[in-house]
Amino acid sequence: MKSRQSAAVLWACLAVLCNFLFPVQVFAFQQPSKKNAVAPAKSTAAKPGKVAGLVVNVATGDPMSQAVIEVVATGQTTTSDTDGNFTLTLEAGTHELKITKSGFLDQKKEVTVVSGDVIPVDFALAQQGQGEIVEVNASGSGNEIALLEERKSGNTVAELIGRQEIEKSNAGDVAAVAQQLPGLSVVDNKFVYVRGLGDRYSNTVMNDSVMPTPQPERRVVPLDQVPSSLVQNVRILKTFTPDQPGEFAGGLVKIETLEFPNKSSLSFSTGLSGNTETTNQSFATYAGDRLDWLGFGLGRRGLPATVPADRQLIRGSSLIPGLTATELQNIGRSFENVWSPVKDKGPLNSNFSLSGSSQIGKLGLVASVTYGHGAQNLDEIQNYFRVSADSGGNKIVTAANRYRYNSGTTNARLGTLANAAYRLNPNNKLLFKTFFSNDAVKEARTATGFYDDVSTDILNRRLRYTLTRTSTWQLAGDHLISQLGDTVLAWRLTYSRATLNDPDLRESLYLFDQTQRKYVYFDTGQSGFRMFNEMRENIREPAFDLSKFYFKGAYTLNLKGGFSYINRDRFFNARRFRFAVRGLNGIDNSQRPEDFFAPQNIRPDGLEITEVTRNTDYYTASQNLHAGYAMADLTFKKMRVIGGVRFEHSKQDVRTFELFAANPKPVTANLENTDTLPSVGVVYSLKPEMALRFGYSRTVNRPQFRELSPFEFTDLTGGRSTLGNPNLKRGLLDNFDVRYEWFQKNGGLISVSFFTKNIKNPIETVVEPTSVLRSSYRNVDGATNRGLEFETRQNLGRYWGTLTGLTANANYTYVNSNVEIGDADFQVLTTKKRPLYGQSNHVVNVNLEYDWTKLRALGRLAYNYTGARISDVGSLGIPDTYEKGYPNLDFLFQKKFGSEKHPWELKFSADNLLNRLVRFKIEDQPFRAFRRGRTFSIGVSYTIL
Amino acid sequence: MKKGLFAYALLIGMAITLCAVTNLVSGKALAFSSTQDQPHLQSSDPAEIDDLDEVEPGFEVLAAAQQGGVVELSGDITKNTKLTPKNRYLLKGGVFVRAGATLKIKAGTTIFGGAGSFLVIDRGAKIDAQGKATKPIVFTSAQDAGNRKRADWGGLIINGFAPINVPGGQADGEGNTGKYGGTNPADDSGILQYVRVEFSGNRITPTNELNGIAFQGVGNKTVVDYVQSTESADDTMEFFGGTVNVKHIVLFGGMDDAFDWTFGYSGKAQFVLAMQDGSVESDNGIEADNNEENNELLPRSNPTLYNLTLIGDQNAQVGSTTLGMLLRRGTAATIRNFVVSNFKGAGIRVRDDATINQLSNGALKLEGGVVFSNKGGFAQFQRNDGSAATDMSSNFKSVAQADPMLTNMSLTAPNFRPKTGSPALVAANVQAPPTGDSFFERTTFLGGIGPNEADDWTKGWVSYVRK
Repeated sequence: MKSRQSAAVLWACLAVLCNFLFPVQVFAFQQPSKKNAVAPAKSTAAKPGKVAGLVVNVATGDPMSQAVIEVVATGQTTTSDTDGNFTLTLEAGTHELKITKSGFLDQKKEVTVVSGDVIPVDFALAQQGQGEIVEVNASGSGNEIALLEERKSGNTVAELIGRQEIEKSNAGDVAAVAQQLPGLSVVDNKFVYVRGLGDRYSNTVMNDSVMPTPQPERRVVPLDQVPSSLVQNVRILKTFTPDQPGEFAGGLVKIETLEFPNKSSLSFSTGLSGNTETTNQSFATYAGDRLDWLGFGLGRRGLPATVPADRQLIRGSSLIPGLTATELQNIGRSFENVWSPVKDKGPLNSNFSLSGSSQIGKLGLVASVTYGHGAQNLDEIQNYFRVSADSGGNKIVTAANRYRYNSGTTNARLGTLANAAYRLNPNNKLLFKTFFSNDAVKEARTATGFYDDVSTDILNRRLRYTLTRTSTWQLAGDHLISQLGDTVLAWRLTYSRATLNDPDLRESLYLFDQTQRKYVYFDTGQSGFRMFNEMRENIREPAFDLSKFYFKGAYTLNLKGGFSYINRDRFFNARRFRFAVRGLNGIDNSQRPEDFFAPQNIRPDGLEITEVTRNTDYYTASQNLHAGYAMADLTFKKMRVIGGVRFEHSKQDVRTFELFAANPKPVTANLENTDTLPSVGVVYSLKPEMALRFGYSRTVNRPQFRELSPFEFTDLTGGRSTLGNPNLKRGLLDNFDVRYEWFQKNGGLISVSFFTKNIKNPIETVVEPTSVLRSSYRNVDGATNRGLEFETRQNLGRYWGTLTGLTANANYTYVNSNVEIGDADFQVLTTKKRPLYGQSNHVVNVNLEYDWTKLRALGRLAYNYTGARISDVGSLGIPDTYEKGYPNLDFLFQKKFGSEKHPWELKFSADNLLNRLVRFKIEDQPFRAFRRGRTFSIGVSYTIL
Repeated sequence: MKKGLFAYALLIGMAITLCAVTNLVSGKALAFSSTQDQPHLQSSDPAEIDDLDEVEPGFEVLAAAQQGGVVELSGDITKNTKLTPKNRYLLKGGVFVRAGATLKIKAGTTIFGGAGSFLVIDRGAKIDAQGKATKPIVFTSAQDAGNRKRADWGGLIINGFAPINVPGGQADGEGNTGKYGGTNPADDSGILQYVRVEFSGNRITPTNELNGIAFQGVGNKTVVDYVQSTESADDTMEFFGGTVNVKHIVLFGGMDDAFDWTFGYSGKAQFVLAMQDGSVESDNGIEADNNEENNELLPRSNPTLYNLTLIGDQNAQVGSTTLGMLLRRGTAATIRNFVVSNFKGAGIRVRDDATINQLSNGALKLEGGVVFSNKGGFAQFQRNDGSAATDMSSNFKSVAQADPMLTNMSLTAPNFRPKTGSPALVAANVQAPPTGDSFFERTTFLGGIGPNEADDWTKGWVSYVRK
């Protein structure tokens, strides 16, 4: 008891600490009520153990409350709470448990209780009239079973990955976790594409509330922000039901943070890893802040205090206000004179995490801290193409700019989580969940190579530090209201915030002077450049759901309805400066930047700081979304029908201001829509272990804030400029799904799905001709995605005894994607008919896993292949750029040591074993190519409590 | 008597000004302005007549509350508007003269550009800027004289409906400067005469930029004669397609290229003087593209240029190529009677197979010229990958490599006139204008200006002030 209390105090302290240090979080979950636990049997020499379990409805996957669990031999009973959880304290030994619930078939199960430990045992109840008791596969445990049951009985087509799988996969963040699921691909290691539909078509919720994004130009949430060690499970819903957000296209990523375990716990893990392209290799970095290692390196990168907040940094005159030459000189000299990457040795990567949980009476607590530090060196080629002629006058595609990039990227990521649950009584529970992640990326980059426009080589140096933070606070409640005939009320109030800080980006450009035969400073737009960006997005979301079951004979009916309101606001601000050359007057322009920009050269007749902030660099945006839904879920014999409708009213606006205008007149773009989104699903049980599903739904895809803004902006660093389109409409999707699933004995699974998505007025990127090319957005005529998914999971021991312990998991997705672009929107695009941007035709995952029970060891080999996809839409006759298919092979071995109660676990993994060249090509010519290198890691974890 | 007359004129002027400020000018004030037929106003002093001249039916005069005051111009100009030398005009941000409107600028008017500002004449709008040799119209920096530098403001952009070679036939201007391009080669964007544009240009990115003066899809009914662009942070004058013809052009002290074309430009030019200032940076005399991304788009850039003098800066601090003429990316052209001297790179470079093909098939002509004292040599020919191609200078006609003997090639007091005995005066090398083309004048010299003082068309209105 004492240790439990001290653990609780420890976690409470940790949570409070977190709250102080960062915009905090604490999080909650449910814990079995003590009241329900039966008192320990007569005292014996052996300490008693515990049984903790979950009761779910096989048909709906919903947790079932008020089920009675009885110990057959003694007649002791308890009942499950609103979350379907129960615990029993029993003497060590084997006991038979029986579970009863009116309207459902009784079920019995044997359980072996270990002294002083908690044994999980879960029940999935079938309704009376369905004729068969469904045995839960005994090879999994705890959460895994629940997930399998949920999948089997769920009302949607969904992919699930649970805590245990996450631990096995060696994936450090949710993006890497998602990569392993059927039909999923991950772009740039952070954006999840479901069934190949691009990032604009994916939506993410955490603990049922929409997550904000720290991305200024996108709505999508970068999933590498969420450390996997804070996650209980990840679900990818592929079909829409009215209780989910209507902005649903490829799929919905649902993240649930750590849930309350059944016992007090404290565990710790740490690891080291090295990458063959990085560790101990030459590595580019730069002197930053002393807190860079922790990811809190804003300190020295702030806007110099000398820079006025309310005035543009330009020289004043008798006609225009501004600053004096001396003031500008002083301000110019106050910018930190660090411009160049320096070479170091690539470090080892490390990570650390600590998590624990406890309960004090009716209060349950879980908290976790995770920290990781990683580095990646990349040597990359990039070529830019033009259409030209050969000497015979034939049209050819030929490289114009040919660059080599070297970049050193260091990543420091800190994540914390603290959740609390308070159980008033078995029918009423309050939850408080918080999550915080702090992710800093420090990049030092050099690019050299031939730049066609100036017909010579250029040398570009860039230093950047990007800090993104996401925090959420959620207060939620679950109530079983018996006065309303056991209606379940679930409500939540969520406030979340994402911020981006991109302070003091520094960039300089030199070009090779062919006469002097050396690099000299090039006084142009992105040269001598310093930029400071910040963005924040807030989401406030109150919501509630009501649900009630009716049982009558062979019928089960679940009625569900709810309401949610999402208020989202966003603010973005950038200030851009550059050192303009007023005159060289003796300054040697072939010096390296630190000497060129030395204080004595920053003077009125030499280099002068000037502000180049654009009139589009400041914007605010908001969205108000009201949604209500009603749905019914009817089970009758072998048939289950789910139908309903969701109404959404959305109002979005974006206002762009000129930062220094005396009376800024905002340029405003608005979009307002009310949508009715129906959905129908049918599940037909061919046999108890086989299901056939059909689904139809209509969903919506809204433009993102920046896409609506009628002003031109350039991606923060380089790249093509982009002009928003205030006339954008929202796209509408009609989704059709068919899935066949066969849940075989011993946990085997075979599933085949077919889907079609017809998108009306999809928003696509088009290229407009300007003197340089510019991207914009259009509602194009239409797009169709048709796909096939195949998945199987087999315990090979079932077929060949010698292979007992070996499990194979395989999935394959084929998508045929076609977007058609009408003449009006075609502009200068090269192809009129092509796959959607970012869409792979083929995605393959194969895992082989060997569970060596005797040795408490597990080995796993995972193969992933993502097929070719368009990475850049071609224009003016230049073909589309494709990222070629990429195969990936990872290996993992883990082994447990020590007692069952306090095990040590050793983990070894090798990632990207094939280390193939990542290639982007235009026809057969390389556009980009690089290698990520192989990563080897070793880790250890220890369960203290 | 004279004093009294002046006081009276002043009073009327102030009254008109006041009305203009209170937006009363257009209707009633016009009737009022017809007082100009009063006998005692018929002064012999032209300045006084100009005072009344500024009021014109159908035009709104933008005037400050006080004479010599500052009038800010910002946003859209949607009706006929007149600017006069009595006021100082300050451009703030992007100022757009919208379709249907004409911006009339009286001789002697100065327009100051604030940081980041630029003036756009949209498609279907017109500029009517008729200066005089003695009273040019000046667009300059809002910084005080002596403190001015390149990129103090954005520059002058004219958009028209003439053809460009971008698929779809229209494009958006660099730096968010509006749509241009169309199907009317004879489009009319107005008149620029005796106009100087100074200290402009803005490099947003290396390839997205505002030039000194940009002609974007401008048609050949537009008159451009006696125009100087000086000390621009980017190209001094750039043509994005279109058919506009230009004459008597001075391009001085640009940081990038002096005379730049792309997107299928097919106009004419005669009498062009260009001098580079490499104290910070300078680039090519001519930079000619067909189209950067696709060198084979049609209609192909194919202008006809006569009488150019292109002077480089051999000591340019920065300059990637700093060539006399860089002909690349598939352009064709007829370039005749040119003088190219003093560049840090070669006199002429023909780059890319697509351009060399034009030279072989006769669509790219260089005839009648003097190319001398360019550090990088006479002529270079490069393949698509930058490697040397066969020397094709035998395709050039009547090009001498001898000192053009210009009067003064210093940046402080340039004088482009060839001295007696200059190879630019060898009659045998001078090419005759195309027969029947009234735009071109027959000359007895190569280069943008003749040898005699009387030939000096730059007198009076051109300025070589560098800050």
